[in-house]
Amino acid sequence: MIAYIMLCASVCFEVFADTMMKLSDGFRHKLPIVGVVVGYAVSFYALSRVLLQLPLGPVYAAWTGLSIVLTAVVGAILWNEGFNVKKVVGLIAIIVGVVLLKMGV
Amino acid sequence: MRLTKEGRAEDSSAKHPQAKPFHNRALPKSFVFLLLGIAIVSEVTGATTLKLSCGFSVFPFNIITVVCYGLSISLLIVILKYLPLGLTYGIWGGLGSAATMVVGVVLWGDPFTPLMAVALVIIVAGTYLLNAGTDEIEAKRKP
Repeated sequence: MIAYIMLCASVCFEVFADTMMKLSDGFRHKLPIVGVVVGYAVSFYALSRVLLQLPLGPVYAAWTGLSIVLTAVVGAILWNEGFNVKKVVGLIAIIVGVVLLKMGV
Repeated sequence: MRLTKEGRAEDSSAKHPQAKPFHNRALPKSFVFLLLGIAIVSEVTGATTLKLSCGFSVFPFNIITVVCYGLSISLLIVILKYLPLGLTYGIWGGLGSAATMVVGVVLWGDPFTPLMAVALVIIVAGTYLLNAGTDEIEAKRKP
């Protein structure tokens, strides 16, 4: 159970780091860069703890898939990037493809 | 003081209109996508040298891994100034995973099943759709 909570935390910190990337506005703002580094460091540390208990393939598939979904949602909420049918189908296709690859089938 | 499209104050370039600061320069869309391509190649190179570094212990592959991931993320920070977050992360994550898998098959003879070929096609098609959908959303917003 604790492994699943760690996985969620890892995804959240990864999305946090991506959000900070966008916020830094191409290195114009320096503080978000610290957020990027800390976010990725915590995310990968949490992921490495998860991998002590759960297998790599499904964990990495879930991690990548959830990150792509959450990042798109954050973009839509904070920067009003919007959704339409093509974009949603495209995102779902990428996630299905990545999960298929990384489940190791 | 003028405002840019994103609502930023253009004070420095107003004082020196002929010398725009680098961070205010507009880049052509094709160039931004070229940068995204380099960011993906850099990520895949990082993943490949990560494997070659055998648990981060073999020089110079461990150093190359750090440099490649650093370059990839730095490029993303620049790219995100020009492209939406959802689009950029979707393409970077999807195509990066697909290309890393191809490198694994070619260099280390990782197993390649028909289902993985289907997954590759789905990722590439998804990238195209995501891009086309984002273009449509942006075209609608322009007056």
